[in-house]
Amino acid sequence: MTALAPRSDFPLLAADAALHYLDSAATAQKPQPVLDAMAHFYTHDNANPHRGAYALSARATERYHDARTTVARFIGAPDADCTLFVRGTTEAMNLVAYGWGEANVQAGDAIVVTAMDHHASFVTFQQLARRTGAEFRIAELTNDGRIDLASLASVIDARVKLVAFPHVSNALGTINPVTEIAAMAHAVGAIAVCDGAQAVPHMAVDVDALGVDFYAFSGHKLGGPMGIGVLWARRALLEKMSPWQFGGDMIEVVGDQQTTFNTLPHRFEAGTPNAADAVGLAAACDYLSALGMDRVRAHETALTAVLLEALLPLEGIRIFGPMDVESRSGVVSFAFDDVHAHDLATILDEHGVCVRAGHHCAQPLMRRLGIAATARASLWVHSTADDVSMLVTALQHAKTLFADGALR
Amino acid sequence: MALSADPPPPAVAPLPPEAGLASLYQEIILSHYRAPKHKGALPHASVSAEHRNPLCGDVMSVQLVLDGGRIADAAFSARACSISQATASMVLDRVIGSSVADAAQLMARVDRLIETTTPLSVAENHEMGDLRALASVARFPARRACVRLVLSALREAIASA
Repeated sequence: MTALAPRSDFPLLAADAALHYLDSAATAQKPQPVLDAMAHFYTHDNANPHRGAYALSARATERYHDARTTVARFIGAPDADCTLFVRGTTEAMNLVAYGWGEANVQAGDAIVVTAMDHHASFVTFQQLARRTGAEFRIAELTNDGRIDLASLASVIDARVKLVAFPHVSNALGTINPVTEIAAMAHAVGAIAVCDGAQAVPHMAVDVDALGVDFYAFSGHKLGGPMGIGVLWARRALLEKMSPWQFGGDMIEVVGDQQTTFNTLPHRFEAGTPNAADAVGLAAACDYLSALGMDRVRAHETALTAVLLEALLPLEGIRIFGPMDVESRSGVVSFAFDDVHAHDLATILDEHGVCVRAGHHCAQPLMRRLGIAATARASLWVHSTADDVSMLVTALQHAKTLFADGALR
Repeated sequence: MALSADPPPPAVAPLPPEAGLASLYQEIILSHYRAPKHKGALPHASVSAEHRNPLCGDVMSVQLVLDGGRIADAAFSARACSISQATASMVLDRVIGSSVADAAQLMARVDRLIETTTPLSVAENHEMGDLRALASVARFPARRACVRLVLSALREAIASA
């Protein structure tokens, strides 16, 4: 299978033909148009947005504004002013915890997450529960790595104020029934907070249709720069929320003793905006839109089938998550009984194969799987069957090495 | 002269991949990993320490029987990679029966072995025995933490006495 996007679109990959980058779930390589857009901003449009009366500052403001419009359209957000720029998914979750949680969760309430939540939401809401005295509840998983909806239903009752869950698991690849879970939350008056970091780069996402209240993702996982991400939220919620960071840009009038705050989205974006990265993220959205998100998903689904088929025959392999490709993304975690994930990653690296080895910021999940670490291969638009076959060759080498110490 | 005209600093010539892997996963390390010494519980332990690598989730627990300034017995339990487990097997084998001071000196040498800043002298190197196999870790910076996981747990166990 060939790539959906040519390798030549990605300067880092184009410069190293022997590199098999199978770690897009950790961070994506950057297509040239993203790098060009950021360089163009700094070369032609750079000034502090919202500050100067001069034309250059107005242009910077416009670029930042346009970037927001592009990103909002990319995720189906009907209201660009509710598409907040943040540093990434982690900061987005903290914004929800501090901006919404502190005012709406108290002792006696409950917060629900799932056993497959990334630490970005798991720890953030666990700590919100500890600060407020709310009960912290965890929905368990099925044996094939899906959210157990019966377990979820059993922890959602009238005391629950917030239900957090990933759209797609970063460690298992499972695609979760977002609309159904959001409806379960809403049925008891709770809000639904969805971590979309592993979904937005890989499939068409329409935040409005998903029915959630907050939806977060990171720009760098979809080919944009590191340090920018998005929190989309329902306007009614944002309008009632207090700012969680204070400073420049987010104010309306600053008195000696009190301050009134700016309108959406600015009241949640204190300080000089990260305009150049927003422009880069918008370019990444445009790049993916041109490829077509349905084609991206189709490419990854087909290649995931190839990957699973290639891994399954390896002796002693344990593959985590659903085996049916329609229920999973191009993230495939696996482990061997006799070769630790770090040793795998080191050996794979010597073959030019980049995979993640570790707990994937999901220690509660690893505990439930009964392991310390998995190796994880993840696919994107430039991935090919050649990447998969080099992975398998390298894994076979690792198996041989650890089986009898025979070095080629 | 323009800075850009300067040639880049000379790079260390890379070994072929197989040679790198062969040095990291040499038979001494693999055999300690497959059949680790001193792995298991030490019911009469006087001190213990458990360390985790927060980046990868590995766990290394070291238990000691300390008798005055001497390590009378030692054992480890771990959920960890081959490098960590082989390190634990080799280091504990060396420190059992030795003084706390000698153990500290040995660990300081292991630290130097896996870095490149202050190489061991020929004499020091000779005294390392099996542990010399860890020298290859210097070429895999991402794996130094796997060795240090053992050293930090052992140091804390000793310090807790």
